[in-house]
Amino acid sequence: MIAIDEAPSDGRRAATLSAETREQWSMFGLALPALLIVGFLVFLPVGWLFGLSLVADGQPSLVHYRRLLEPAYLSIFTQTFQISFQVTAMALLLGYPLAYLLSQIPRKVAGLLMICVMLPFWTSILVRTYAWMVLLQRRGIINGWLIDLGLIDRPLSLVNNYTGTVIGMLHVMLPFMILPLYSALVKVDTSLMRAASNLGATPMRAFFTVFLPLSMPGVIAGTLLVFVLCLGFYVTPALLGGGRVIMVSMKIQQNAAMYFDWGAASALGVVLLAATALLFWVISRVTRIERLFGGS
Amino acid sequence: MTRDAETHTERTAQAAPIAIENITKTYDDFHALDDVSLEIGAGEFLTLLGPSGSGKTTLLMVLAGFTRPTRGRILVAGEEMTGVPPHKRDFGMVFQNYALFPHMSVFDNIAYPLKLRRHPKAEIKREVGRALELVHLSHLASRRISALSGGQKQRIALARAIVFEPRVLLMDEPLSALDKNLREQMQIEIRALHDTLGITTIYVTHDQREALTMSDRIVVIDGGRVSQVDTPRALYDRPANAFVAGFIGESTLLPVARTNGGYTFQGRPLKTGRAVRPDAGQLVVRPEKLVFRDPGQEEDHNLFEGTLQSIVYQGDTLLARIEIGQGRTLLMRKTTHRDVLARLPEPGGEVALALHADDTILVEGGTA
Repeated sequence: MIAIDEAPSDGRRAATLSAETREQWSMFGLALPALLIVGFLVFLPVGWLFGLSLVADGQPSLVHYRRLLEPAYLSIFTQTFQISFQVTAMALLLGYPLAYLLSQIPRKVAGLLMICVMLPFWTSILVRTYAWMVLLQRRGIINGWLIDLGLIDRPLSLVNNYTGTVIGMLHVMLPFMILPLYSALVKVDTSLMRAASNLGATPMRAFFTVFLPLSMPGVIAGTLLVFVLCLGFYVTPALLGGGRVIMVSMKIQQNAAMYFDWGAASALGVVLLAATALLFWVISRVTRIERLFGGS
Repeated sequence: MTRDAETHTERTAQAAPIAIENITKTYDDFHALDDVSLEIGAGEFLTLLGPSGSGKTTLLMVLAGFTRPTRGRILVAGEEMTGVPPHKRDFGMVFQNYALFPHMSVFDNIAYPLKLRRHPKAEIKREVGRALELVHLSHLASRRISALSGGQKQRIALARAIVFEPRVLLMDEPLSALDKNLREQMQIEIRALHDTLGITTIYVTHDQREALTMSDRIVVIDGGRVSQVDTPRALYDRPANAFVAGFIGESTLLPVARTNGGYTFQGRPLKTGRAVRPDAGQLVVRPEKLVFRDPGQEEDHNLFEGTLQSIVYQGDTLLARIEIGQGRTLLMRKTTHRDVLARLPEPGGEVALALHADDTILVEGGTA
């Protein structure tokens, strides 16, 4: 973008332009290695898989896509979206108050608490998932406590089902929600809350009319990130679902590794990618993110 | 104009007097405010003036309800306000950074306090329109905040602070972000608006000229304490202490000696036009109060002689530095009128000066 307030002489303008062009090219040169890696490692394989999904028995065919319309596959998609939606909603509900607290306390204390939020990141996802299996099983710690406290008579089935999957996924996803939320929340100018209060808003009103709308960029960023990560999540649902919860990612693994049906696996992947892209597009149309920032 | 007159009477009735009683605010062992007491009349324009860190903003925050005082009370129209939360105080406030809501239009920003007070829609529209008219920005109602200039934001913040007819208007260095010309224009506009609305206004600034221009009375605050409360003119002409004399206007401080029955400077007895505080020890000389000596001034003037060291020509005025012996210098400010220039010698020449007894100010401290 070239913004010129007072028009300089043509010669000077040309000189400015060529200097700018040169700088742009050198910037491009710096970005080139990354672009090549992305090109070779992302676009080529995706393109190749997309090609595979359109071929069956050596012939161009839509059979892999047609099969996705069968009830069995449709229910897998429904379940995947349902779990992803539920986990995202719960992560937002749990994460927002925590991110809000972190944004309001002194930075030093917030930094310490943030380490606690980040701690799960530094542990292998496999270890965490197995830990949940130990905690949630029939004779596990959680059922033990609940029975000892007299809250339940018989152990609840918390693992190898939908509940276990949601709990495990929520645990993994929470930091991905809190981090973007926190970075948006600390940016909300505290004097705006004071202004609202001065103008007559109760703390509750001030939060809903001023703070919450201004934190929407963080809410959208966190929600999108978590939802997309959930859609393709494999390890945790595979282990904690106990075979009763089948998500698209697990079906892809099955098709590719068990049946060597790369066409079917590719078609699933392509549809998941398309669904995610569609979601991004819809959200970017509905919310004018730049307006939420108050900038242009 | 008839409507302005109407609003005037209608709103003047609302303006409330404020009593600040023994307000103290301590943070650990730091006294941000130390036993501050003030009476502010209904409809008065009072300025809190002080250097940064003096406590003037803390006092404003205590008034707004954002900071809880350690001791003392705030009374508004006789009603205790000390523990009342900000949203129940009904004070308008203009923040230093304006604090306009970036996700709302200009209209919605100004309508915000009215919506909270559940005014009917039609009324909100009328009142916002009137507030925008008062700040001369009626054409910007549908603008986004980010599309406003600094001066426009300032006016919108002002409109939002007065639209709900608050009992008190608080302003926290509202003009500090504006350039000099706009600042001077806004000073006059804000003062005019105050005169129209008759609202009790407490204005915080560190700019002495701004304070002198706008205020009914000025409170000079230093180190959490009230140094002097007076009208702009009294504050300038009769500073109560060395801090006020040094902080407001230019001044040269010179040590005086105490003799039985009076004070002397460089061996000459000093004539003063008013009562002198018992601990006086320094003479305050304002550069513009010094005159070239004329015959017959010995009666009611104090006299100085010295050598002209340098002249700084500043366009409308010039500043002359005059060495008067014992390593002491006086500053004299004069207009650049030809008659003045005619009386100034070349640097190095002798100058004879006089200072009227009424302009001779003695404050505490010094070496004597």
